[in-house]
Amino acid sequence: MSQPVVEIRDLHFRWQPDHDDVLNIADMRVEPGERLFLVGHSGSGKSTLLSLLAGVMVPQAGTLSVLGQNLRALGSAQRDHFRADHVGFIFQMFNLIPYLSVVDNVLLPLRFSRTRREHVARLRHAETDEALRLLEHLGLTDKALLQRQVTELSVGQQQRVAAARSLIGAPQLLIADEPTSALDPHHRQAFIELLFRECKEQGSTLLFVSHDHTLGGRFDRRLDMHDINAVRQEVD
Amino acid sequence: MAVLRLAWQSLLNRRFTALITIFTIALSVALLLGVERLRHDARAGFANTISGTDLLVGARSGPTQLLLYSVFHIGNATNNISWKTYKELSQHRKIAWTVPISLGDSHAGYRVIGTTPGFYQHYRFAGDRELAFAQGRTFDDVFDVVLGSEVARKLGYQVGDQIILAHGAGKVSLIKHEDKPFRVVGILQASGTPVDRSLQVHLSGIEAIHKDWFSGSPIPGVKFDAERVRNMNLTPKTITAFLVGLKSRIATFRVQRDINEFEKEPLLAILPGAALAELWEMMAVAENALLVVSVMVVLVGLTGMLTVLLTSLNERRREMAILRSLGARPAQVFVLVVGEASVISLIGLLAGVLLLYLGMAGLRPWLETEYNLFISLGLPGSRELSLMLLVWVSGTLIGLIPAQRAYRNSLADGLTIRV
Repeated sequence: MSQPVVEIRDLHFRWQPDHDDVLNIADMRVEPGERLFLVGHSGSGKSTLLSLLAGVMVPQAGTLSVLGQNLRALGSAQRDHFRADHVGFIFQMFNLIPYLSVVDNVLLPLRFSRTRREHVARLRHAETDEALRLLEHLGLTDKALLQRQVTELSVGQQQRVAAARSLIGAPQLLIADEPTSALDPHHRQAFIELLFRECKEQGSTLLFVSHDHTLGGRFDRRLDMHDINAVRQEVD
Repeated sequence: MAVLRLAWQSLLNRRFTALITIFTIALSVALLLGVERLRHDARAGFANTISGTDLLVGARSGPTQLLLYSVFHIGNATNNISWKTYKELSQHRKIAWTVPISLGDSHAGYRVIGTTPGFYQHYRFAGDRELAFAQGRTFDDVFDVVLGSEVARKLGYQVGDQIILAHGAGKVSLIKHEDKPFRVVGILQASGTPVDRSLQVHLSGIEAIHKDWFSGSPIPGVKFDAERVRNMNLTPKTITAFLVGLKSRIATFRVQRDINEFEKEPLLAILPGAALAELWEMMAVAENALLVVSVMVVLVGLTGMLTVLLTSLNERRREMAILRSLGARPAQVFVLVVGEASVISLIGLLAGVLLLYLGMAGLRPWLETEYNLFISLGLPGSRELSLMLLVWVSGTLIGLIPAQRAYRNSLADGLTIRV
């Protein structure tokens, strides 16, 4: 069968050797092309899990593979490289570099990843055109808007620019960490639809993290941090 | 490199604070290089005060003292040389020329040099430059006087003006030679040497105004008017010092020894170049203090940059986290900040150099006329270039401090976006 995009077994993570575990995940798999909704309130360990998936930190024990690559086997620079090549991120807000133009923000991942640069090159058009194409797909066509400072865009527009950035060069895994919580309810569902469409087109797997249960309706699968993390969390 | 381009764009975004930082560094660099250039040119100007003279001879004292009173007109001679001795020594077979110098009188605080027209012929400065006349000609008559450029400018004299010499040095002169006025016949061009601050008359003029004097004061009841004095024997009895030019420089030490061992009168012959170098060494402390102060100013400028960079880091934590999420290594975050420090100090440095040259071009005439300082507008020398390199390297090294912090922050923050 095809290789899972994320494979976790018996994973343990703690901040310091003499601290208690904050994550203990017996088993978690994400299949290629899957749209997974990961729900968990703050303090449930979801941010820690994302940092592990991003390769910013490594677990002390267990298996953690992304796209078949055991992240524990890589050095920190290699993990950074791996992230640049294969993972796209969208955060809650303030995703954009304020001093870069809209297009330059979208192009930013290509500066850090040769793999994603080459992917764009295979599409046989210029990098800027690819950025504009993605922006257009996400409904940002207004030329005047693209000329503006990114800080002048609305939050919804900023999130769509961030989505275009995470998608450029077609990384296999897209991690969206509360990307809609700054949006009003009307725009939330529309934004999720956009993500679905682009992920499907690019063949990317989507890991969507939120504390808001109501958003999970149209995903392929839902996972609750409570169910996968064996560590007792104090609910605050 | 992608990261350096980002550093540049990030810097443009904060261009206001960046410009102020750059301006601070530019000012400090301009000061440092300005001091260095001034130091170099002042030293060169000093060493060039007198050249072309192989030996300087005066009554026996110390070399520095002889140089100070005979060339720089600072202080007074303790003793004179008799005319007879001068005459005898000027016949030395290895000596090509001699120029006598007689000091002791002044005008409005400026020293009067009693000499011969040979002074203009043989006095050289700044390598091989001769004294040149801005107006008029050399002295000819007993009561002719030639003015140094500063004397003429400060006192507003023109060729044809009459002036009175005073006995002794100092601005508040005790007794004036009022009965024997001198006529200005020439004004010299500025040379940057003590000659600018002197008046020159013929030796016979000095003798003439003292004909009715004895041992430093007027003889009571004796008064010779100017016309009468003209017809008297105006050969001086003593002179203060004399300049010597040799037929061949090889004989310098030989002639120096001959003069120093002259039996009829205790004399001292010195090599002006060596004595000048010795004198300059005495001023090296002040010179170094100046340099130390300007180095401090550059440090202050760079510390300003450090402050700005450190302050901006907190605002930029979010930016760093975004870059990290895009795959930037902590090392690249480090380069981003060091690159910024490096770019700021480089631009500051170049702006400083520009500022310095503009400043020098603007201040040159003023420095020349007010301080007799001749500043060269040439390209930076190797010492200046190494100072510039040092500033750039220091600026970049100082950037390591915020860079190290950014590196630590980005390791700790990971992808957590701090607002």
